[in-house]
Amino acid sequence: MDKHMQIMNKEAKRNASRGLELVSCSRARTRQLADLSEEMIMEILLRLPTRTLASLKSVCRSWRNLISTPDFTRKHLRRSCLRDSSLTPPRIFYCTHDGWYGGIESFFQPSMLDNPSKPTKVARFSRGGYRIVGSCHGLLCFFDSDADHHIHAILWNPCTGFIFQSPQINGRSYFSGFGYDHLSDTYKFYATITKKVASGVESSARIYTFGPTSSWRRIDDIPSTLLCPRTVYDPCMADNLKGVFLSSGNACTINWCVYDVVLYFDLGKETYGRFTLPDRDSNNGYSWTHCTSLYVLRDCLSVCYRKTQRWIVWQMKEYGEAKSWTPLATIPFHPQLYDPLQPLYISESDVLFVMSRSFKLVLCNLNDGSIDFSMIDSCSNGMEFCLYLSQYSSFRMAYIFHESLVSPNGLQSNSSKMLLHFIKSEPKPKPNLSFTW
Amino acid sequence: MSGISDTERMITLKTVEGTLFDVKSSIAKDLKTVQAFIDDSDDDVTSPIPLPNVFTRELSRILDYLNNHHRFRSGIEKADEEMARYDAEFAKSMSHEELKALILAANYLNVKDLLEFLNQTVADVIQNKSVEFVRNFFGIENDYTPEEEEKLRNENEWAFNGVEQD
Repeated sequence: MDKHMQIMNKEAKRNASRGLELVSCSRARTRQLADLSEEMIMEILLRLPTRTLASLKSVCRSWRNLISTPDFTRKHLRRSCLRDSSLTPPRIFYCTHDGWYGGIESFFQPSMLDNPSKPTKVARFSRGGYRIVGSCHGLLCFFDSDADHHIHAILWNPCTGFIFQSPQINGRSYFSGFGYDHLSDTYKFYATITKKVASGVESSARIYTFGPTSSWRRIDDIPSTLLCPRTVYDPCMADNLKGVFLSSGNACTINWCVYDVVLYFDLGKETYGRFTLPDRDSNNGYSWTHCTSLYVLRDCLSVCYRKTQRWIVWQMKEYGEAKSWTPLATIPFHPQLYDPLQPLYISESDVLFVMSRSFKLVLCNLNDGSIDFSMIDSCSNGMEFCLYLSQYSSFRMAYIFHESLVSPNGLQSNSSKMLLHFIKSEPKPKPNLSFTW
Repeated sequence: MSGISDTERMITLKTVEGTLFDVKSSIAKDLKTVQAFIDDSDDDVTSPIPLPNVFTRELSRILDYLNNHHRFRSGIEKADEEMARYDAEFAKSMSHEELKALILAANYLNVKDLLEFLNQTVADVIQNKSVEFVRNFFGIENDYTPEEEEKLRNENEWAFNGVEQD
């Protein structure tokens, strides 16, 4: 018996690193239930959705600390990206043009019919002028612009309340983008900045890497297209000044659609590149002045073109390979559909959600090719917020983001007062939902 | 090594209460702690292996789970459906205390698949439950001051929507 005990003790010591307690034989006669160790609790918490975890910080101090560690948030993020997307269901973030209001809405899912009391969340910024740039890993990125032409880059995680504001830079921003550089494990903000100087106007490309001591770093060799006033001030480019972030294979890039090419900036190597958009020969009656916008669907760059009597959504299966542009879905003409059509998201059941102006939704089933026009009543529940927002100057872009608990490494909130606060929307009458999924 | 094939060998395990369980060595392989003990031993293990942290009720459940899953895996059709049904019944048959006790035992014995399943089960139980419920479940004391709690609630205002009452 002695020898067995020795060997089991050795095994128990090995197990001790997994947070177990060795209960000696005599004491174990009583049913003394040891608490679950922190490691065991972490394994359970990693399987919970982001919002639940945000509320569970209130359980006790050690849970709040555990849930906030970069190690935990990174594991949770990886888990939700790779294994279980139900941990971070998609949300839509809207922003008004004047930069005063932003809102977060649950993404349109059939479950909204069962749970009609889900509230919409409207955030009011402390002043106007907040422009959303993009989102990544649950972090929303803005820049603010005011009459004095100063800019700050701002990061916000709505789930944790983390807000971080960069130091100021003088000038106006035109092209911008936000993304994650996996080479350096940092979040970067890119902007072309133009400022007035004694001799006229000076333009440069700048990177701000979110961090406690970072500054606006200058990047050389900026392609002339990004500085050319004809491009920059072209009204049809207005929506395309915000680049789209894509992480694919080895490269993390910010992508802009500039007429018939995609111009990109590699966040890791800090170099530029370009490739063509699909289907751009003159036979298709496509004017060079027409701009389309870029979207990301299932980690692939996508565009949506208007052709006669229909729209076509294209997807770039292999990033950077112009030959790999593949038609994904065709949406036939419908009297209530107007440009631009925004392909937003592909659900797990392979339904592509495309949004048109005035919040009309098109659902394209990628498996059987069927198209469903969900003409959502303007009083319907899920669109309460949209109705609210539509009182203000119309917004154009809806940003899909996936909630997370992430903050950039080593960064604490640095806003002494909340830049944003939520306001309660007024209760609306019960909707008359008239669509089917 | 003796000529007896692995699947025929039986291992005997002894729980805290002294109950003996005969386990096929193919099942014992899933109890990684026990397997490590066997691998570390110089001679063939003949006498019962004591498990000072494991009670009869838990070991019985663990062996039940493993035996059934081995049976399903070696079966031909419909294994997935049957396994899902078994798993659901298995989870439902336990109280919260028994669930926790089983996690502790499965953790000690290092039974990977069962642990995955139990962790997911507990996650499903506590999702959408109140903070108070979760504290009770894990036996955790609230160490916040009322002001700190209020502050946290405000910061996470929207996370508190959609929570079931106890």
